[in-house]
Amino acid sequence: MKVSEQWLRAWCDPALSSEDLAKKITLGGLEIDTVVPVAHAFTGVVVAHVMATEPHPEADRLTLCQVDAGLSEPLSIVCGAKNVRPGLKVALAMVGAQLAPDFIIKRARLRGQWSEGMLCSAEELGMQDQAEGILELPSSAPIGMDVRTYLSLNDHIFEMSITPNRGDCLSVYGIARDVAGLTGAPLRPLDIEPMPGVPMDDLPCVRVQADEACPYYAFRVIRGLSTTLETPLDVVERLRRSGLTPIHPVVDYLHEVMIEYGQPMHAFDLNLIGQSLTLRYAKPEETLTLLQGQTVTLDASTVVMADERGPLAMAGVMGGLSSAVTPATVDIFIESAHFTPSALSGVARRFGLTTDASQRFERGVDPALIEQALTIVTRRIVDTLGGVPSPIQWVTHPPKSDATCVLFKPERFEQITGVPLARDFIATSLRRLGFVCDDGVSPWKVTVPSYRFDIAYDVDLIEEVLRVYGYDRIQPVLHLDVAHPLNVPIKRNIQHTMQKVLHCFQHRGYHEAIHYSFVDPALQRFITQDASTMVLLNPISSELSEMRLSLWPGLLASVLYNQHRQQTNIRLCEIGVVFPTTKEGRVDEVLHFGGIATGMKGLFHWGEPTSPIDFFDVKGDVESWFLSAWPHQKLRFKAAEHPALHPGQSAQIVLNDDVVGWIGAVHPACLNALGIETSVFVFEWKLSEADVRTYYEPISKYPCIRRDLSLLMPTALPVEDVLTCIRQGVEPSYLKSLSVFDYYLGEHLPEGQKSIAVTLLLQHPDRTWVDEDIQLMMTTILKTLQTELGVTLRE
Amino acid sequence: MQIKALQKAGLEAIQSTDSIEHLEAIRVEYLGKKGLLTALLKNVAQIPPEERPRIGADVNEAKMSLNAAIEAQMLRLKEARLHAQLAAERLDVTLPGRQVTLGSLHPVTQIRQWINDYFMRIGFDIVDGPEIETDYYNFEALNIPLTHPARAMHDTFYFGDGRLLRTHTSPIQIRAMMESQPPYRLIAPGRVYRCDSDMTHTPMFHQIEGFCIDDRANLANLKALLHHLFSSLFQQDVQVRFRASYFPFTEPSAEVDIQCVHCQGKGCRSCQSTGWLEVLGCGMVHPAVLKAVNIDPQHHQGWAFGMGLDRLAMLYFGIDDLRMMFENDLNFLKQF
Repeated sequence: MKVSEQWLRAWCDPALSSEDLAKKITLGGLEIDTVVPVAHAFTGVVVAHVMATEPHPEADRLTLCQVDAGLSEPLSIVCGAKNVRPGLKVALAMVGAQLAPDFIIKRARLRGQWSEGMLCSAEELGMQDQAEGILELPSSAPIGMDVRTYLSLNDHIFEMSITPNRGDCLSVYGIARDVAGLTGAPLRPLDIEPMPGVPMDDLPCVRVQADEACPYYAFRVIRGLSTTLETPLDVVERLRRSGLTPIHPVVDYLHEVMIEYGQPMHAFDLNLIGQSLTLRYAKPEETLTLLQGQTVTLDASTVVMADERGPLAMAGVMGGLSSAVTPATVDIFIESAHFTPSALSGVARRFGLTTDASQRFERGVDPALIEQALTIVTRRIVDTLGGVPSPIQWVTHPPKSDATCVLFKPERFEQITGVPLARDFIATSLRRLGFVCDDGVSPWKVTVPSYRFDIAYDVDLIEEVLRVYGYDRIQPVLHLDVAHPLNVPIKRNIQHTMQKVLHCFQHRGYHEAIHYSFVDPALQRFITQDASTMVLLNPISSELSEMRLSLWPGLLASVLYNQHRQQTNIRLCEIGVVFPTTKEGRVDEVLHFGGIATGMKGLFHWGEPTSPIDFFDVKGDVESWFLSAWPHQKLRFKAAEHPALHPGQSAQIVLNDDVVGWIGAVHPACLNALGIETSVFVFEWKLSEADVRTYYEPISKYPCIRRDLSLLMPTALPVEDVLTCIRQGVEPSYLKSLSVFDYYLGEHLPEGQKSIAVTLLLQHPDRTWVDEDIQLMMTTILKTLQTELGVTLRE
Repeated sequence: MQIKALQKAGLEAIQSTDSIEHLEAIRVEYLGKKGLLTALLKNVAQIPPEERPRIGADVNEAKMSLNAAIEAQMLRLKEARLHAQLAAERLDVTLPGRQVTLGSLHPVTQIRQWINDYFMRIGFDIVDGPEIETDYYNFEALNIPLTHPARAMHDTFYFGDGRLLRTHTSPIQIRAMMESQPPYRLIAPGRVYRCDSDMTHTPMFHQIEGFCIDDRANLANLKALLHHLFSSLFQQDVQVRFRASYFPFTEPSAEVDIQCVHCQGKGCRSCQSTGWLEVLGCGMVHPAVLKAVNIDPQHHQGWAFGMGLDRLAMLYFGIDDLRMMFENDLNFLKQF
């Protein structure tokens, strides 16, 4: 909301500079985002009268003007604007005038003709960002008067963000009332001159059907308005400073009163509406063309003002085009009503419509304003445009007293805020803000003014007092009771594991990425063909419309993004929730960790060649994590096919017989579709809490024996089966390690065979091995390998 | 005089050799079991007895002198060989080492971890909650009924079944309070979502919720804590300013500004010349919220805050473009 400082000070004028006033208001909860001067800091510009004009003899686009600036002689001015004409009142920058720090007007020759000053546009004076032609002043403007004074340009616009609870501050008067409370400066009283009107007998008949949406309704008509008069300049300027453009004198006055007091009203052309008006809910499929030209299809939760033929206006939001006032309008019907916040809720979302009126009704408008605003606006219209008003017609009148009363214990103030304040100060503060405070009883009885819709609890009153005292004056008091409630054991938290896995992969060269949780459905289809997930009703774009089922869509997109930016070695990882849904529609939010790698191996050195990352680099990364996070659990990689992965280079990650995730090379068809030309490896698993607790085993004092076995095995047999078989053949406490040190597949081997070589380190816990022990063990192992797996010792 | 001649020839040979292997050969030639000097002693029978002691002494002297010369020369040669070896093994130690390329942690993660650690050190627990929420937890229970105008403050993403993406971390407060009894000292970091995307908004961002409810936690306590938090984070005395504000789930409510950490409050581009940076919203938990989770507001009270982690990370690391945060450009990520 834009508020003119001058207008505000006309109601309440504390002895504070513009900057200090803005700060005071901001700290009090009405945030002022910016303070903008209404015009440049120019000097030497006066009101002048164009007496005569003639074309410039040398230049088509220039005009020679004789201008009366109140001096003894008229001035000769060369002007380039199209709208300059005899009789016009203009803003003249005299010789010596300063329009900007480095822009001083001098006597100048333009194409051979002397110009003793410059006629200014609104843009040159900093009143508008853009302006066509020179500024035209009203004919009543006094010649020779300083334009700053005449247009009251020593003013600032406060750009304010009013929080939704403070509907009472969506007006100049409302803000002034709060400023008076915050500063203690006096508030100009609301002296409203009565405007009784003249009884008329042919007034339209209004019925309110939607009475829960519109509990109070009043109107009056004004007949016989002038159609030739324009909105006075001071009103136009006030509207401009409030961010509104002039439309029609009647509408401009309604707007001015709305901005000043906060009551939205609407004027219909009396001769364009029927005699029988109803405030009702719209019928399905009814349509209405609004003032700004948009046609909306209404629904049964929208309140409309309608006559016999159909809707005339969306009540409390915007009028209709067919009944709007026009330059030819002579008789008007002015509606002043109270629409409840619930009547307006959802309108903005359903119709994409937020208007000055709907914004105010949504937040609550003081019912007392219905009559006050209608009286004030009638006075202003009649004083300018003439016409005869009817008396105010009440369809439903607000009740006399319906004030909220809150019980308040003053000691609660210090309990809640930690600020000790005298009771007198508390009572005075509340009264200054318009509360009626009965502090002679315990608890106090505090009556809430009719314009405050946000006060129901004692803490609401505490906030009010604190605003007056000053939030910035709260003195910090360091205090925590027992740090952790010691009756509850401290739980371990997944955050710890999250940090651990990120550090592990960071140290293996992965950069942590963060992707949006919603992804491109097309990309997601590549990765998960049949799983279903949640789809947003109102996504930012269709590429961000589906909740992710895997971290891979985001990671793949980032590989592509970075490859387009000349990155060749890319390792990224991410932690985040994925959102699979069950058939019953239940969403499981599952915390996943995943990564992606492409390019060359991580070690770059001048002394050694490097080579592209392959499956086993990435598998090594994954193994490092699982072995560090679950040192005592059984980890397996089981060859399996996944729609997104290369069928020959993909595996399930199996931890203690649970499939927790996948690892593999991205399927070439998928890479091709994405336009990625390098091999890409991915992994992802469900992240669960690491279990690193280890139980100590005594260290054997006896020597360790090493045995190497070189084996021939069927090509299709997984190496892991051989390792498992060997492990099963040795007492677990004897086998210190089992590792593969050679693997060969190719020539010089029997048909259908491959070879591996393994090393066993064997140690007895409490004696020295004798040869026979080892011999027996090896024989058993080899026998089992041969009978169960067809694996033989390589000669 | 044969002895003297041999001794002289031996010493010359020793002096002139530059090889350890040759020196060994010289030792064998002169002093070995079949060496020249040894041979002289073998002929002792042919020497008149009266000369034998003198000759014996001469041979011994020659042996000792040759031995000493060999030892001395050996030392010199070994030293020379070591020098040669060291010279040959000289490296250009300024060549790069064999590094494993390190990765990085996202700036938001680093800040979240710092804040988590801070609060854990002062006795807070960490809790979390779902990102897909119901209207009840995200709005109703937080004193934001359906018709409340504050809903306009939250541009909410909805799903077809009425569920929504949480717009703030505050629903975790409700879930945590429903699960156990006060006192609570909890923080809840997490992703949140709002349907808004421009220069200064991303549709997903990160918040951390903190709350403390017992029988007397008040606003002045929160202010002291926040002063300590920000002073610890930025390692300087960071002034904290409360401004009156509005959130449906706290009353009184405040926006919290910290003194600009770039210009120490003098006014700069980061703070738009105000000297202050808006960092979080907070307040005393609203009695209606406490009642919604069956806590008696007459006996319990406390504060809550919600802070944007992305903005704090930007402040901390001096990042000036929000859009960089989730583009995952390696040139960006590698910096952290």
